[in-house]
Amino acid sequence: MRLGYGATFQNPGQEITDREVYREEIRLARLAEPLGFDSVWSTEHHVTGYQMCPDVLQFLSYMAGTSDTLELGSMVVVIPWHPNPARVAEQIAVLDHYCDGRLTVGFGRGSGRIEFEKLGVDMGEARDRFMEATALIQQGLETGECEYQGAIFQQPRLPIRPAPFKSFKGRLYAGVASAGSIQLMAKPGLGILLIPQRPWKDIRSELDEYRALFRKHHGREAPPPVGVAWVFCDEDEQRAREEGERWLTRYWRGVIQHYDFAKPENFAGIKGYENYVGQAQGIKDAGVDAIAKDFMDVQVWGTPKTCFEKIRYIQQQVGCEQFVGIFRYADMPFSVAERNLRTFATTVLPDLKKLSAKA
Amino acid sequence: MKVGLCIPFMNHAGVDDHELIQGDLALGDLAEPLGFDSLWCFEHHFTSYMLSPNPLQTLTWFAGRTRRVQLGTMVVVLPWHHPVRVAEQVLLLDHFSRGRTLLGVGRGIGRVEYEKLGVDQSESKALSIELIRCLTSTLESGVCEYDGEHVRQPKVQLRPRPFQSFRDRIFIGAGSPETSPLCAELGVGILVIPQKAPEAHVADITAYREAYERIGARAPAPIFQGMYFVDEDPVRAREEGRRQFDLHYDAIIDHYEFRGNHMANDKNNRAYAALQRMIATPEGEKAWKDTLFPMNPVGTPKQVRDQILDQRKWFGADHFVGGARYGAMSLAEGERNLRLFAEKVLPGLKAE
Repeated sequence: MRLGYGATFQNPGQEITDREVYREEIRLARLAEPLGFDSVWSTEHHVTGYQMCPDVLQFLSYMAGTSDTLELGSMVVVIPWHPNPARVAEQIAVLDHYCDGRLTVGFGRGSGRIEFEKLGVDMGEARDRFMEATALIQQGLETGECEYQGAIFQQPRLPIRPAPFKSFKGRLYAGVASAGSIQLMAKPGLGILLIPQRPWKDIRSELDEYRALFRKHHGREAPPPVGVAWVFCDEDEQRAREEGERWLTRYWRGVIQHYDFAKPENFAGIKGYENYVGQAQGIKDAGVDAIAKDFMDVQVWGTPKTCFEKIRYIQQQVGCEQFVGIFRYADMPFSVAERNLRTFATTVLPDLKKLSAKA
Repeated sequence: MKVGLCIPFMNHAGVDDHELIQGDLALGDLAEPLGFDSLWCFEHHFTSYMLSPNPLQTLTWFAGRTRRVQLGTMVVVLPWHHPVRVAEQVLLLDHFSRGRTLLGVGRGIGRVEYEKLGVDQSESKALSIELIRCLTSTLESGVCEYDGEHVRQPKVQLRPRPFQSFRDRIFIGAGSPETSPLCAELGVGILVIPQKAPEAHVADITAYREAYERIGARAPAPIFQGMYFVDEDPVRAREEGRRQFDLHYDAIIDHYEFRGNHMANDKNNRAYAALQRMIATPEGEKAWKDTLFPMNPVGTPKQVRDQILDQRKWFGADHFVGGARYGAMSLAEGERNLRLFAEKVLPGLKAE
């Protein structure tokens, strides 16, 4: 199985400056390949300290500059936030030239209300924007020209230069978190990037349905999903549990806060986010601590042996051929993150690389 | 003086885009080892002219491969960008490069680009002035907020925040004397990118200095750009240089649609229309090329150095940015040109 390193650029507590976060995140991301990782990933977020990578393709361009072999992935480019999807197609084409075709692009729909507001995008349009923009970009990257007539985007014919030089079939993904969204990605021909907020086994049946639909629409197998999880790995069992719980819980509280996930009214009446209302009600009713425990249950923490078992379990459930781990989150000190990363890289990663792709 | 290298990604020869890109990236990789002070990229879309739609992204790639050189845009065409996103990209480049960003901004005049990007070119001037005001204040404070005729952005704190001032690191591409008061007001510098006769550029710079003098301040020294052709053989330099520049100007004519008369009645493009009339005949086209040619240093190493030093004196500049591969030039010729320049011209310029 292939292994990815995910960078989050989090600075919620502002205990250190954004500059220090950037220096350290870059240092760790540059360690990933020498430590044995195949790929580096990051996520688009704006305007808060929750995650500070507003242009993930630009970060990946930086990483591409550091290596001739490293693979790159976005998890995700939040496409509804981009005013002009053709510009994103250009950025993708440029990066793919620079990294010689080692790029996988995950797109997402976004659910951070503050980001929609500050970027001036109507959240109620997000699902339609996602569907139209990904279609526009996909067509542009395959044919070298964007041309699209949709309800939201009307793009007169426009050549992408530099012209894409390698097909993106099997390299375009959709980041999926909420229930019921996986199947929607079959028709547009997108792979699935699993960013877990619910039990892995629950995802399995949805994936089966998606794979069948994908075959039906495209006459070929869907690309293998990519699994993502937050990792805390320590040789000492007690420390793994205590520290893992501390940082994963803090991370999850940050998620609830950033997305306002505990307020059903936050999502009420927004088209495309109907599921979120019930989910938010559930979080509100159960309390953030109980939900944090649910979150921990689907992440990867423990001794090296436990971490290995959990990732193998994820692979068995969803059939991913690539796993992306996130090693630094919330306000975790970088010394702790580095120990976490290095422990994982030396004790877990070598065995994972030997795992065969087939579940 | 400082000396930079610009990488235009021009594909007028019509080779495979991937080959062109890989070749120009390899030339960019030479900037630091060959002793240049800075590396620069342009913004253009949709044609073979320059395969460089996102210079901040390209410079970020170079940020991952360099330690020392400054990384500059010449220019980011502001009306083609969202005010928040472009500020974020500049801030990211500055974080990735640890403060090596130099930001040139401008208005752009490519009709094909305005049209296909869906931006109303008739408003480009007003729009770019608002965007420059918005961006300069955003980069300084980390807060983007603007309430203008064309740009309306509610207050938003950008993250990551800026970590050092952009003072003395922002430049406006000098197209006309009208931008001078704006430069002085915002405290930004000027980039001279050859597009007219040297005397016309000197007039722009004079207006720029006067605008600064009027507010009792000293204008930052301009940065000037030019493509060069250098060869030890003066005959080859003159003949092959002229041939390469003729092709280079053809690329400009194609991209900017200077042939034909479809802009005759376009009030947004009066200058265009005049150019179209001028190059409508072979004699006119040659005359136009003859006007631009002196802006490009061509000759033996000594001639090229002297020509750059002359321009430096005219413009009162302290930073020259040269391009070695342009138009339809092969990679081999571009690399020869670059290496000879670095070996025989660069040391003399840096000593000045």
